[in-house]
Amino acid sequence: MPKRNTPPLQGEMLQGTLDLLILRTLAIGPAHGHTIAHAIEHGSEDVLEVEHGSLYPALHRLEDRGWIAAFWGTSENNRKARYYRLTPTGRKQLAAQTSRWDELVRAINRILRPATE
Amino acid sequence: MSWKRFFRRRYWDQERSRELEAYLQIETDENIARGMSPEAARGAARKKLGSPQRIREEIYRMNSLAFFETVMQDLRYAVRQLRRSPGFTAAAVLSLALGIGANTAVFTLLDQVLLRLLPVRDPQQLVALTWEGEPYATNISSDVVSYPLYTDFRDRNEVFSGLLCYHDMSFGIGYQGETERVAGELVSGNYFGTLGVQPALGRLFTQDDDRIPVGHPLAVLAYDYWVSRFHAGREVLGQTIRVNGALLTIIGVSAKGFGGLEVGRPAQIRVPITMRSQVTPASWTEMFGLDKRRGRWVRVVGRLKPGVTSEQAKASLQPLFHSILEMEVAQKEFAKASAGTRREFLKSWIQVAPVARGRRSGVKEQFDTPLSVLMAIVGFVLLIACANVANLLLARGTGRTREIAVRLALGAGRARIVRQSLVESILLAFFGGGFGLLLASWTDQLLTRLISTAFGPLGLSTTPDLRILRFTLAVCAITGILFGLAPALGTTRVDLIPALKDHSSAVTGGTRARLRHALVVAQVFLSIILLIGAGLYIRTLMNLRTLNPGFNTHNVIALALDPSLNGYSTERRLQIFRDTLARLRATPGVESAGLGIVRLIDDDWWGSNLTIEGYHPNSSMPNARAAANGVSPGYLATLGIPLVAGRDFAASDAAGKHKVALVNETFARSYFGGASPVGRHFGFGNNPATLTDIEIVGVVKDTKYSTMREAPLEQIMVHSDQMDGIFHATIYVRSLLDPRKMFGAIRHAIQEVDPTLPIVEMRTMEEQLTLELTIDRLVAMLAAVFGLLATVLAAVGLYGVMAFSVARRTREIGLRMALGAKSTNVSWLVMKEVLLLVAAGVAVALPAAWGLSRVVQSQLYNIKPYDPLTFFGASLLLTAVAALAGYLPARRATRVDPIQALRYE
Repeated sequence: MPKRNTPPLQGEMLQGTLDLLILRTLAIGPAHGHTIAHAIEHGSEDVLEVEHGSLYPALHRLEDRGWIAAFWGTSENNRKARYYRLTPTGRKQLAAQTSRWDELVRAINRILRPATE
Repeated sequence: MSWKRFFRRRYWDQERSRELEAYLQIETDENIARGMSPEAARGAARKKLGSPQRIREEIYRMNSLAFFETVMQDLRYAVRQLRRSPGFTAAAVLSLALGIGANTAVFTLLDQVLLRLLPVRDPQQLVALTWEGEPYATNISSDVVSYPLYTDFRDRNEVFSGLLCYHDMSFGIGYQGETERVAGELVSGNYFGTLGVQPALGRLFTQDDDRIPVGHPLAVLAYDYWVSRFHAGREVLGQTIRVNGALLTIIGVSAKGFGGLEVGRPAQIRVPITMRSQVTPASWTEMFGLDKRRGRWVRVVGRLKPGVTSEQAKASLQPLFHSILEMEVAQKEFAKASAGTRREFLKSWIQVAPVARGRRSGVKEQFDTPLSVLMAIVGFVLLIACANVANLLLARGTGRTREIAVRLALGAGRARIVRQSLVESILLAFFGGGFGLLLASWTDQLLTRLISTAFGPLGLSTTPDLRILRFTLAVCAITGILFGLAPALGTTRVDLIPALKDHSSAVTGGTRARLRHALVVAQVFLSIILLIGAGLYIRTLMNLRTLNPGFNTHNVIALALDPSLNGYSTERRLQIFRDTLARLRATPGVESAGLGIVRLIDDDWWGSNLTIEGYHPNSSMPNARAAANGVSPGYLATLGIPLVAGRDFAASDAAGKHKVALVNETFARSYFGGASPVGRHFGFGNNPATLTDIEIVGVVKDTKYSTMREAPLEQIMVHSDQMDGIFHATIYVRSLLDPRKMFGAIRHAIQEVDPTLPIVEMRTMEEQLTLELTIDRLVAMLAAVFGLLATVLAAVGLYGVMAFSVARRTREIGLRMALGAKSTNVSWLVMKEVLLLVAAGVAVALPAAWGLSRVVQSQLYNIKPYDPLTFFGASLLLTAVAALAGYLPARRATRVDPIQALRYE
């Protein structure tokens, strides 16, 4: 693990960013809160170590907006779990927000590393 | 944050709890799989998740409407606070109930008379058509046109989707053997259709009910009349009633709430206009028939086509109108007209004006100014009540300084505390408004009862509807903020440390004291203005009451007889009047009796242009005009009108061809320059061909004619038996006994002449004069009540401020007394402050009242709007009341025990 010396980013994550990550995770397929939390952690090579609890208000908000929908299912180890899947609106949002994110990153990079441009 | 979630907060909380529990189980399972002990595994899972309680709280907050929640909290807190100080709450609610109730009461009437749109489809599209210019015709009133002109417009215009006409008149309605007189209307067949009024029962008139003259013996009842006279029975459909002698069939009842286009004179029954000749005497139709172009009697109202403005309609009607004028001027009626008259006639034009709020009938105009003045008065009363409650709140805020300091110290936001106080004051306002609504409904019932005894049913509703509730709601909210904001801001401006130490000097708050003083000055200011207004109205009423009408009202009874309502012929009517007078004169207790066509002091009017022998109008001398009346022999004696020259009418004048008349002194002065008019002649009308065949045989003293307020006017009286025919008349009886005891005998005498004759409006002349002054009396009474109410409220406010000030200065006063100040010095200390506040209020109020009283000048009689006596009296009264209010705290100040006061802290 190359980045153990840098402290994980915690609590500083922008609200929109967490939403985007959740949407991205669900784009692969339906998942419950536990899976989503671990997927984000692992996917970011543990840089984005979210407090798993903070995920749930975000899920609630996304569900409220109709970007994701929920259903109760059975987990891999036979536990009842609340699963989430992306709605068509959510899919559109994911596309829109991903391109916005790319733009933002490009813009910030342009400022941070002008030479490479 | 959505409403749906807000109401399902509990469900969502449970859902999330289950979800979080699922997370913990899965994570624990995985931890155990990694080799942890079950307890450690559970602990690690919890750590990973964070506090479930906090997550649930966060989600719960997301589901709630934060503002709404805290307002509910504030409301509960406010209710607790108000219950804790019942005295304060009662005083505040009472002040506000009076203020808001008075406003709602007056607004309910004002709205219906002045503001409300007619209850018909798209009232904004309605316009009234009136003839402007010289019509060369006989009018029955202003704003009317001939029926043929109406049909010309109806059939040949391109701007109206419908054009209706109506004619308001009295109907004698005979049903099940009883006849009563009600307000009614003759209407065109398209009347209801054009207005878009629906039937409540049966059917209404259509254009088919307009086709054949005299061919549609039908009637439509107004909803209120159907309820009051026919007890809302469905069986009235198809029944026959007698309307002015004609038998008509009831075909329907118009929609509830529809009172016609004349506000303040709701028609109770409507009859097709083609039935004109059946319900009016034949001699009327000679002049005002459906085919007569020189008799003007119908009012015309049109509905503009969508997109057409009244300006466009007006422009497009003029060419048509002028072609009609050209046609009319060539008719034989104009044979005697001079070239000048024809020129003037052809200059006429048609005015088109909106009538969305109904036509301004006489009653409506009479109420305009008084209602507006009353609205202003009650507005002032509400302001005073607001100032009072604000003062109470400030005083109470002072008592709560410590509580608020504690809350601020514990970290409450100032905005939150201000909002909380505002919630409290708005709650107070709504309590006040609730009681105010009750008060308003009750006041309106009283007012409409008083008014309708003088004017007949006005069709005004006294139950508050949605519109009135909205008005009251808005008033409550505004007053709540108005009186609550300043105290709320003031009480939160606290110096924490001394306030917490409960040191009395912490509450001095210079701004707060100044604010309370300013409020008292404002109350004094408003009260003085109201008192001056009340004084002016009361003095006006006194002037009108002591005014000599020019006739002797003592022991005189007046009553109206209208045999034309029974459909009797001209001869039969004349005979009835002669028999009635003879029978009355023979009745024991009757001194004399006579009749007059125009009822005196009843806003009735018969004016006419005259041609007078020897009087030639020119630029400096106007056309001769006079208020006319037709009277019988015995009229002068019965009313006690003195004859100053010539002779009274005699019975022998009746049959003779020699026409006779009486004139009054003003008439003699205006048209004969002081020379005796006896023996001179005049005639009705002022076209060159007028015959001057009526001889003036006597001159009488001036009397009031239509109203008590009118200036002396030229009057003539012709012999009633020499008129072309009388339809209705007022009989006057002078009794030897108490006139009220004569009513039965008079009724009996008239029933002996004809038992079917309805006797209406029987009252003594003294009552008649009292009724005439109903509006003046009401306005004076209300102005006085509100003025005194305002003064009491202001005095209470002043008392509160001074009592508070004395309490605060106990230590200072004690010190002064310890140093040898006498009790007079001490009370002067307090009274000086009182008088200063009052003087400040008076100083601002007098110039303001001087300006404002001009607005009501037209309402006053025989008194200057800046009447010094009234201004002085009002100031004196208020100063006296204020001094009394200040005296109580001043006396308390002198009772301060120096020892106690100095030990006080």
